[in-house]
Amino acid sequence: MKKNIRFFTHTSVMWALFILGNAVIALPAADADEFTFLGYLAACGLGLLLNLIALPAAKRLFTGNPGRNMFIKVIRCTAYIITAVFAVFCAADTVSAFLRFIKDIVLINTPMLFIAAVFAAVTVYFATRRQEDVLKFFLISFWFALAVIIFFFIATSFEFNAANIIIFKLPDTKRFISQFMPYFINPVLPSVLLSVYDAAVFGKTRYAAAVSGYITGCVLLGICTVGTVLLFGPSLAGQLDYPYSSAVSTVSIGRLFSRLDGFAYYIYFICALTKTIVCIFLTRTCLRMLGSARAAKTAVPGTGSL
Amino acid sequence: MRKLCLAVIIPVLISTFTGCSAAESFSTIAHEYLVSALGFDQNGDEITAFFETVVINSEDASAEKKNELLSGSGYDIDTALRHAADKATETLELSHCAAVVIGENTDEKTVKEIFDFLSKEKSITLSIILISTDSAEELLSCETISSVAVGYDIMNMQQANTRISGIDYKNRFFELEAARKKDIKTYAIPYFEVTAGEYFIDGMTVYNDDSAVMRLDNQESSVYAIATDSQGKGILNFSDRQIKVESVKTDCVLKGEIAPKIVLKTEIKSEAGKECEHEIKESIKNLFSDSQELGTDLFSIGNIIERKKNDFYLKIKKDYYGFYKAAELEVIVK
Amino acid sequence: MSGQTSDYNSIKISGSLKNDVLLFKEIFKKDSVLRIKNIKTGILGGLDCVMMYMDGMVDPSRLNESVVKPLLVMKSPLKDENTAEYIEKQVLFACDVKRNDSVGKIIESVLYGEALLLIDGSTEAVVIDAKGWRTRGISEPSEEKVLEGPREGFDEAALLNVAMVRRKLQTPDFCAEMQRVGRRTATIVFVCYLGSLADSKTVAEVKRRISKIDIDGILDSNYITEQIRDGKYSLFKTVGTTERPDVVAAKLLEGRIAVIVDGTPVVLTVPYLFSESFQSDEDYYLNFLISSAGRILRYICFFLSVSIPAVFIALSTFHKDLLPTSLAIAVAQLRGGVPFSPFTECIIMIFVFEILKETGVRMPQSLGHALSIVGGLVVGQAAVEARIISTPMLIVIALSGISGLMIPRLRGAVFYLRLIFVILAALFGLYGFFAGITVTVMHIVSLTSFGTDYTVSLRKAGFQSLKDTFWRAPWPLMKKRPEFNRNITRQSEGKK
Repeated sequence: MKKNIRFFTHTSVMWALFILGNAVIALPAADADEFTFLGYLAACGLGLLLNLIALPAAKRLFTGNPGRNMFIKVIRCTAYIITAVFAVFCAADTVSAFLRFIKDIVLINTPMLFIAAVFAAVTVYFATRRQEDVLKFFLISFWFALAVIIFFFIATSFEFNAANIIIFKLPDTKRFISQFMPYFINPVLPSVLLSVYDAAVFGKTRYAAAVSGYITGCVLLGICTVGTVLLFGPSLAGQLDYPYSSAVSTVSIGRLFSRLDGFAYYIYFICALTKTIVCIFLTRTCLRMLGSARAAKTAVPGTGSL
Repeated sequence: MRKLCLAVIIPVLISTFTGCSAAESFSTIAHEYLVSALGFDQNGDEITAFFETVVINSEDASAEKKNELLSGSGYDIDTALRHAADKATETLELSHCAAVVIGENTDEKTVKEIFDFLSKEKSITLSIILISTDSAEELLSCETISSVAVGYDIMNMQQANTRISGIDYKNRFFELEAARKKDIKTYAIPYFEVTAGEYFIDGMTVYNDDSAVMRLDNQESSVYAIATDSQGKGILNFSDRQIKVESVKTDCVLKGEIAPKIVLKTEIKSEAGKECEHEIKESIKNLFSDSQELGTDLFSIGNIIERKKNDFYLKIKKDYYGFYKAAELEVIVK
Repeated sequence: MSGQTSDYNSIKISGSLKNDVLLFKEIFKKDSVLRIKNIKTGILGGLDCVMMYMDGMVDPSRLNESVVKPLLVMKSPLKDENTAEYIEKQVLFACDVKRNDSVGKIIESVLYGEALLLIDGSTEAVVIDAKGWRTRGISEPSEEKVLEGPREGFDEAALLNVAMVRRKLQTPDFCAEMQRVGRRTATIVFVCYLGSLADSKTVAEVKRRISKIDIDGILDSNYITEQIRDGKYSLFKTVGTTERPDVVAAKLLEGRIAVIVDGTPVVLTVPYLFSESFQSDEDYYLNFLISSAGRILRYICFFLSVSIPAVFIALSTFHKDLLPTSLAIAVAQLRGGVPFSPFTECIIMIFVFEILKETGVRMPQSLGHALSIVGGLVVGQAAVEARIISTPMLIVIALSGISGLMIPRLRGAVFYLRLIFVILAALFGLYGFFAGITVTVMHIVSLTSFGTDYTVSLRKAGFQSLKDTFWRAPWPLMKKRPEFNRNITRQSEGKK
C-alpha cells in the first residue's frame, strides 16, 4: 500500500509544472480580448475531460501485454509513434519558445548556439538521471514556482483594473473559438501526453494525482494569465511578447525591491525544463516500446539538443 | 549511454567556453551612460529627441557626476534618437530611464511614434512615466533638485504629489498603452511647469487621439481624477483651504431610450462633507462642457456606453462626437 | 616477504624455545624496541619461558604483576596437562589471555600492545593483554564545540572510543565488529551499530566495502571514506564524520552505522543525508526554536555563500536593468576606475579570502594579530583605495565568505560551487547561474549514501518527512526515526 502512494505528490506537481511549461512564457495569445479568460476556462474544462478519457485509454495501450492480436499490436505501435512524434514536437516547441525568450530578453548579445548549448547540456544531464530523482527535483521546483507566482500575483494586485476582465455579454461562437483555441493548443492538448506518461513510464495510472495536478497547473497558469490581463488589459497583454515577465517587472516594493524579473526567468526555466524532460522521457519510452533500443539511446541527446 | 552524453556535452562546452570570449567585450555598468529621461520637442516637421544621461566618471571617481543632455534631430523619432545616440561616447543604458518628457508642440503623429518606440524598445521598462511640458529641452536642462538627474526628480516629485494630493495619474506607459489598445482615445498625463529654472507639477495635459487638446489645472485635475476613477482621490481648494476628496464609487449610466441623458454619479467622502458637493458638481459640469467644445470624450463615456449599452453605441458610433457634443450631462454627487 | 603480518600466518610455533626465540628475533631484527625477558618458572627443575613485548606499548608494572610474579611462584602442571593451557588458566593474573600457534597472529597481537610468552616444549604461545600506550586523553573536539551538552571527544585509541560509545548505549544490542585494514598498518577498524535498528543489508555492505580496501596503510578515517563512499567525485560528502561520542550514539540510535578507526579521533557514520550537513551538534540540546532558527539560517547562508558573487557578476555585467536604479548608480560610481572586469576581481578576491582563511588555520597564534592587520588593512583598505578592487566586490566576497563559514561540513562544496557559479554567471549571466543551480540541485537529489537517498526526506512530501530537516521539531513530535528507518518508533506517549 505504501509503495502505491509513493510519489503521488511528485506526480501531481509534475502535471502542474508541465501545464505551466512554455504556456506561462507567451500567454495570453496575440489576439486576446475581454473573453480571453472565458476561453481559458473552457479550454481547461475540455482538457480535463480529455485527460479523463486519455488516462484509461493510455493504460490499455501502454501497459500490459499486447498478446497475439495483430490489430491491437498495430494500434499500439501507431499510438507509440504518434505519442513519440507529438512529444518531440512539444519538446521542440517548448525549447524554441524558451530559447527565444532568453535571446530576446536575458542574453541579447550572446549567440543562440551557446544559449541552446547550455539548455541542451542541462537537459541531457537530467535525461540521464533516475525517474525518482527527477520527480524529487520537480517537487522542489514546484514549491518555489508556487511561492513566486502567488507572491507576484499579490504584489501586482494593487495595480489591477477589474474592468479589464469584466464582460457584459457573452461572445459569439467565432469570437469564443478565437479565444479558446490558443489555450487548447497549448497547454491543454500537450497535457494529454502526461496521461500517457504515467502509463508508459510508471506502468500505472493515478487518476487522483493526474486530476489534482492538472487542476493545480491550470489554476497557477490562470493566476499568471489573469494577473497579466488584469494589469495590462487583454489587448496589451496579448501584444506583449512575454506578458508574465513584463507584469513581474512592474512590481516595486519600496525603493530597493524593484525589477524582480529574475524570479520570472527562473520560473520559465524550470517549467520549460520540466516539459522538455517529460517529453524526452516519453519519447525514449515509446521508442523502447517499439523495440528499437538504438533509437531510444540516440533520442535523448538528439531531442535534448534541439 | 553516459559516454554518448559526455561526447555531446564536452565538445559543446568547449566550443561554448572558447566562443564566449566575446563576454569580454560586454560593457559593465561603470562604462555606460545611464539614461534617466527621454525628451521630445517638435518644431514644424523637425523632431528633436533628448537623452538625459547620468555620467559616471570611470577615470576619475572623485570627480562629481555630470549630467549630460544629448540631443539629435530628424523627421521621425528613430532618426532623431539615432542622431542623439551618436553623440554619446559610451553605450547608452535605457533600462533605468524613468520618464519620457513630451513637449506640447509635438503633434499626434509624433506622439504615436513615441508610443510605438516605447513598445518596440524592450530595454525600456513598462513602468516608465510620461509627462508633458512646454519644452522638453528646457525642463531637462534644469538643475536637479534631490537626485542625480531631472528624470529621477520628475519621478520622485510625481510620487510625492500622489502621496500628498492622492491623485493617481495613471501615466505609466503600460497604463496608457492599455487604454489606447482598448480604443480609449482620451488620456491625461501630468504637466510640469518650468519657471526660472525650477519645475513642479501644475495640473495635467489631456490628449485626445494622441494630440494635446486641453490643459487642466490642479483643481481640475483632482475633479477629473474623482470623476473618472471609482477610487479616485484629489485635493480641492475650497473656502480658502485645501481639502482631500475621495470618490468611493463613480459610475456613468444612460438615462432614457429616445434622447438619452448621460448621468454621472459619484459618491464622495471628504473633510468638508456635503459643503463641497456643489463645488465638485459645478467643476465636473464645466469640464464636461469644455470637453464638448473641444470634441474630447474627457470622461471616456463612449467606452462606458459601448460596454453597458452596446446596441445603442452601435447606433451612435458613426457620429459619436456629434452625440457627445449634443449630450446633456446630469451630475449626481453624494 | 612483503612485510605484512599475513606472510607469517602459515608459520607455527615449533615448541623449541630456542628456535622460536630465534625466529622472532629474525622477524624483528631491525626493531630495537622489542624486549625479551627470560623467565625460569618456580617449579622444581624450572621451566624455561621467554616473554617478549614492544617497549612503550605495554604497561611494565602490569606485566610484572600479572605475568612475571605468578610464573616465578607457579607450581608444576600435572603430567598430562597442556602447559600453555595450564599457565593461561591457572597461573597468570590477567583478564585477557589467549593461546595461539600462528606466528602471524602472534605478531599482530604483539604489535598492538600485547605481550608474548613462549614456553619451552609447548607448540602454543600465550598472548597477554597488557596495553599501556599513552593516549591524548579525552578533550573537547576543537572543530565541534558546543554551548550546551557533553564535551567529550574521541581520541586516537579505537578501543577507548568504542568504550565511550558503549557507555552511552548500555544495551546488549550494541555491536562492534572488528576488522583489520591496511597491508602494512593492519589498522583496527570497528563497525558499530545497534543490531535491531540498523539495516542488515547496509551493515553487510559497509563491511564488504571496508574488506575490499587494499592499501598499504590506513592512517586516518578519510583513507577509508574515500574508498567506500558513494559519489566518489561528488563535492558533497556521503559519509558523515564526527569526533563526538554523543553524536555517534545519537546516529546509532537512528539506525546508522559508525566506523571507528584506530589512530584517529574522527569516526565515520553512514548513511549520511544532505540535511545532516546543516545540523549542529547541539541542535538537540537546545530549545527547538533556537535550533530551528539556527538551521534555517544555515540553509540561507549556504545559498547566499554560493550565490551572491555569481548574482552580483551577472547583474553588473549582463543584467544592469535588474539592478534598482539607486544601487546601479552607486555600484557604477564605486566600480569606476577599476581596471579589472567584475569576474577577474571576483576570482582574485575569492582566492585572497581563501588564502587568508587557510593561513589563519595553519599559522602560529602569535602571528594572528599581524595577519589580521595585513588582511584587513592591505586587502581591505589599500586595495580599494588603489582601485585594484571595488568596494561592492569586497563586500560581496566578505559576505559570501562569512556565510560559508556557517556550514563547516560543506566547506569544500561551498568553495567549488561558488567558483563554478561565478564562471557560469560570467559567461551566461543569470541564465548560466540558473543552469548551475538546477544541475546542482539535481545532483544533490540523485546522490545516494549506502543505498539511502541523499535527500530521502523528499521521497514523501509531507510535514513528517521534514520535521528534522529545515527545522527541528520538538522532541514529543519526533516519534519516529528518520525516513530511511521509519519502521521503528523512537518514542511513545510515556510511561504511566
